[in-house]
Amino acid sequence: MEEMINCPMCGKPNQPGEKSCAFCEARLIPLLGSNEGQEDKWVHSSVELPEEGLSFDHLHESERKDSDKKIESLQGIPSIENEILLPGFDVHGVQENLLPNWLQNGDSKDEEKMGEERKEESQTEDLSSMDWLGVLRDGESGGVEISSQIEEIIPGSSSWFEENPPEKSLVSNLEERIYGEEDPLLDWVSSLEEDNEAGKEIDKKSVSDETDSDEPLTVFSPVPTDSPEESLVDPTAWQGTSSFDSSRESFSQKESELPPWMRDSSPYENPDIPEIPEEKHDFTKDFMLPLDDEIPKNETSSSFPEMDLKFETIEPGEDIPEPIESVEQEKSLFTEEEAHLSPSEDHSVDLETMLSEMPEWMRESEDKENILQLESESIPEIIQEHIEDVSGTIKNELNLVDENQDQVQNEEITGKSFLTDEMAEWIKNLPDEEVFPEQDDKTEGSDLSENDVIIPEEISKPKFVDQELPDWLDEESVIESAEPEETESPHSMPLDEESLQPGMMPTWLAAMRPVDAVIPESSTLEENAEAEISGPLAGLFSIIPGEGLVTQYKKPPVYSIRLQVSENQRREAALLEKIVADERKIPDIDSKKARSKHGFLRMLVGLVLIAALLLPLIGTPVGSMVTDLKLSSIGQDFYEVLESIPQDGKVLLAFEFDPGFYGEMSLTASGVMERLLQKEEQFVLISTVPTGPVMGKNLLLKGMEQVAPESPEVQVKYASENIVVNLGYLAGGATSLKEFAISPRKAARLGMGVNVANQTVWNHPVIQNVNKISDFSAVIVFTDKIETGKAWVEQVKPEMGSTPLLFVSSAQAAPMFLPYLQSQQIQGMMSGLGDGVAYAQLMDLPGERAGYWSAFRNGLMVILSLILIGAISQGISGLFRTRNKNEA
Amino acid sequence: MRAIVSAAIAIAVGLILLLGYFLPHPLLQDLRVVLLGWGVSLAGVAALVGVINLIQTHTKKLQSEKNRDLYSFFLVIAFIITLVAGLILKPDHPEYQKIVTSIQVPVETSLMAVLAVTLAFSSLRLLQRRKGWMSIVFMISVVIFLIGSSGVFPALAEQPVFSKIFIFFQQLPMAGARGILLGIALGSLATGIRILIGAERPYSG
Repeated sequence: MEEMINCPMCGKPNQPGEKSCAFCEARLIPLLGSNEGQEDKWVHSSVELPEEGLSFDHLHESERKDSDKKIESLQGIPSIENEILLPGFDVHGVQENLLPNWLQNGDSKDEEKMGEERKEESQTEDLSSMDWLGVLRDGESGGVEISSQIEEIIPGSSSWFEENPPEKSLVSNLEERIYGEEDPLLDWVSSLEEDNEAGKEIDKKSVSDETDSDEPLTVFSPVPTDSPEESLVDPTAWQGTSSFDSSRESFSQKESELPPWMRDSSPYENPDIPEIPEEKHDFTKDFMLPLDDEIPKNETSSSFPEMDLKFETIEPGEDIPEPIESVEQEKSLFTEEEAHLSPSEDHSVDLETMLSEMPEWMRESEDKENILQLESESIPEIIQEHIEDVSGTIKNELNLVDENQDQVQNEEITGKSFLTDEMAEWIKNLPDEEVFPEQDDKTEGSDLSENDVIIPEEISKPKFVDQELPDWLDEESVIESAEPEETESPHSMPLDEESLQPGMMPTWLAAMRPVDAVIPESSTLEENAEAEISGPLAGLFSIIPGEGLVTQYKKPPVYSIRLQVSENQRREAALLEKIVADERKIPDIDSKKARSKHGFLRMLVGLVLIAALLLPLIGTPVGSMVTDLKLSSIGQDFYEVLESIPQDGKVLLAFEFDPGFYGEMSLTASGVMERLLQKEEQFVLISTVPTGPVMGKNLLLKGMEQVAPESPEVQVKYASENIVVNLGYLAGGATSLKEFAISPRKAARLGMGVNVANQTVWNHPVIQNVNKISDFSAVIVFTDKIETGKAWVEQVKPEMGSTPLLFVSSAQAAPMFLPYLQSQQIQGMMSGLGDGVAYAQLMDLPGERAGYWSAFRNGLMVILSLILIGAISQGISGLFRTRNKNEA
Repeated sequence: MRAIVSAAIAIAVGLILLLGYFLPHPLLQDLRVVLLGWGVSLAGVAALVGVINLIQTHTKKLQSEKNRDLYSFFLVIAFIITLVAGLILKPDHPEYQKIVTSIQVPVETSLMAVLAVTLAFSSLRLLQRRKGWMSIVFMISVVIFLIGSSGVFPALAEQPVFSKIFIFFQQLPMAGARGILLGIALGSLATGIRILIGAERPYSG
């Protein structure tokens, strides 16, 4: 019994042998003439799928190998399948399906291997369609069950292909132009699975819109092409990209073989020219629509971005729209849909007008009725959908190419941008409503990417599910819906937020995030916090448990800080501690022992000295003379200068010594003073030492006593101070000496002990004629210090002129004045007790000098003896120590 | 600013006095006399300030509870008595001069006597405390000069050989003293130049 042929449009059974559907007049026999006789066989073989699934990789590999060859053969075939190559539809896959030996290209072994691999990965990949494809490929090996299912799914597909001869049509032209460009449908297909969830929502929206509008559904049933394989299978067209790329390359290579009008409008030459947004539909997608969740909903919306189509998504349980039973019904539905979507314009499609504007070749190759039937009626809905899909894809592709995206989008919406000069005239003259049907508000306003797909209503899932959806396919779809999508098209732009992948925030932007964005919210803390149970704060959260802290208080643990010290370190530390302690320890002074040792020696030395000094003083009679002492050569000079001073001369006496040296200075100067008194000189006393004037006057008085002890007249004379003027003390040291040397009257203005009332010292008769230092007869300096002697030499001597400067110095300062004496800055000097005694002996001056001199000499001898004794004793003791050391 | 003014004054006064040494210009001489008079007056005031400071210091020591020094009391008393006696008797009064001759001269002379005994004892232990060539040289020089100053051997000094030796030893101190004086002169000259050019400012405090 022959099988009934189901109409691909309405799905109703028809008698075998009929070429068109009795119900909808759709073609029941595929248009592929060469396969006409093998129609049933093809149908059977196509639906009989092998048990092992065929991987896409295998298909891609086989497609790449024979892509050029297949394309050439495809173009060479004057069938509708060659003309109506839908975007997203893999040409190679089609060829493979068309050609019975397409399976022979692939190694059967490889297929088995890949089938096994796919079995292993069947839980993670979408293999429902592949399994189906595998079954389809293996249809020749005897699978018959699927053929019937396919026939049920696409009713009348075989008859439709038979009725549609493989002639060039508008769709085929568009197809060629579309394949000249990059086909985003591949990306769309690749992202079809990824945006599955989004597609669901879109379907829901479509259904809701449909219900709201209460408009008749425009059902796009799968349109069988001339080659049933093309309409049925080739899931690689929407799963992979390599096959399509290869086909695109083959098309570019065969561009020269295209008709001239096609080459002129080839997108390769004018990529910027917008393509004609013919409505195309991926029949493979339509075929797979019954897979329910396999079809991404968001992509369904983007695949028809500007199509004014009504989509429906029939949820399970809803009423399945009835298939279009006739071409008239379909046409009416289509026109109604357009009229609804573009109410402001004339939506009636004037197909005749359109056909009249078609090129000649097209009109020649196709009679008017066929064209009309193809465009309006006989073109199956699957082709229309494919056309719509292609147009939407082209427009989306142009969006990427065009820099001004917004402008292009607007143009795409209106469809005017596709009507360029290079397009065919009939396309240009087509009404906008036909070429670019108004898009639904939902799809128009949304940013649909090129890969987004809008599932038409008539091919939504429930339609197929409720019909003859195989169980295995249903299961696979369910599995796929649950599986995460592995691949994602780079051009896909999902519409809903759930399909959006979380973006990677740059590090610099992450660093700028506010702290609140990082810190967990307080609500979380409150959730984790415990509520206070007791006390006035009972019921509050996040309370610091003070009570617990108090009760948990305990004595802090004591950690040992004892150092781990080795034995050597301990010994060294003890040594250091001992050294430091010894340094701090003050040694006890044994006063008794020290006193007995050094005190006795000191007392002995002192007693010896005292005895040596006292004995001459006691034993030497007063007035005795020293006979064995001679004046030195320096003393001789002093004597000569002093003797050269004229009588009654004015002698300036500078007493520059301290009371401590009075003993030595008095014995040294007494002879000089006596001699001056003897010569009746006039004396002017001055000093830069505060006690100097007193010392000078005291020496003068003692000299008077020595000179004229028995002459009261002389004493009265000197006592009356008529011959003595005491200028006093000069403050300022060397400075005052300089001033005194320059201007004596200014330096020593008042003087000391002036008896003349209301007179200055300079009014004294002794010095009233003295205005400068050189006016003195001689200047005699009595000093025991080097500094004062130098000051007189350096500051006064230059102002003295020829006035002699004589020094009477102590024994300690005499060596320092010798240079000045040798340089004649000092004309004479007497130093020490020896010169004084010698000068007195020379002048034959009586006095106590002999006794002092003897005492002084004895004292020197004692000291000399002590030094020698000490040196000898130390030397001997040193020798003994050295000997003892050597012996030891 | 103060340092600059004081330095300018010091340099100017130094240059005027220095020029007054070499240039017999009357103006320079007059200026030098005036400046020296100012300097002497300032020195007298400085001495008076020093006396006042001394009395204040010892007065504070008397008022201090921790470091009270009785010697300060004697110093202050002696200062007051001397000041009052000098204001009353005048400095040239014989009784007033006895303060110096009867008190200060014996005190200072006694200190010199103690120094003589200490030096004699130290000379005894000279080689015991410090052993070396310099100590020996120092000891020999001391012995020689003590013998020469003592006049113990006047007869030997008259001998031609010993006389030259004594003259040599008498001139040795002159050589050393000359070197010391030259060093002092050079130091004074350098200091004067530094003060004149402002490199050294002992007056700045």
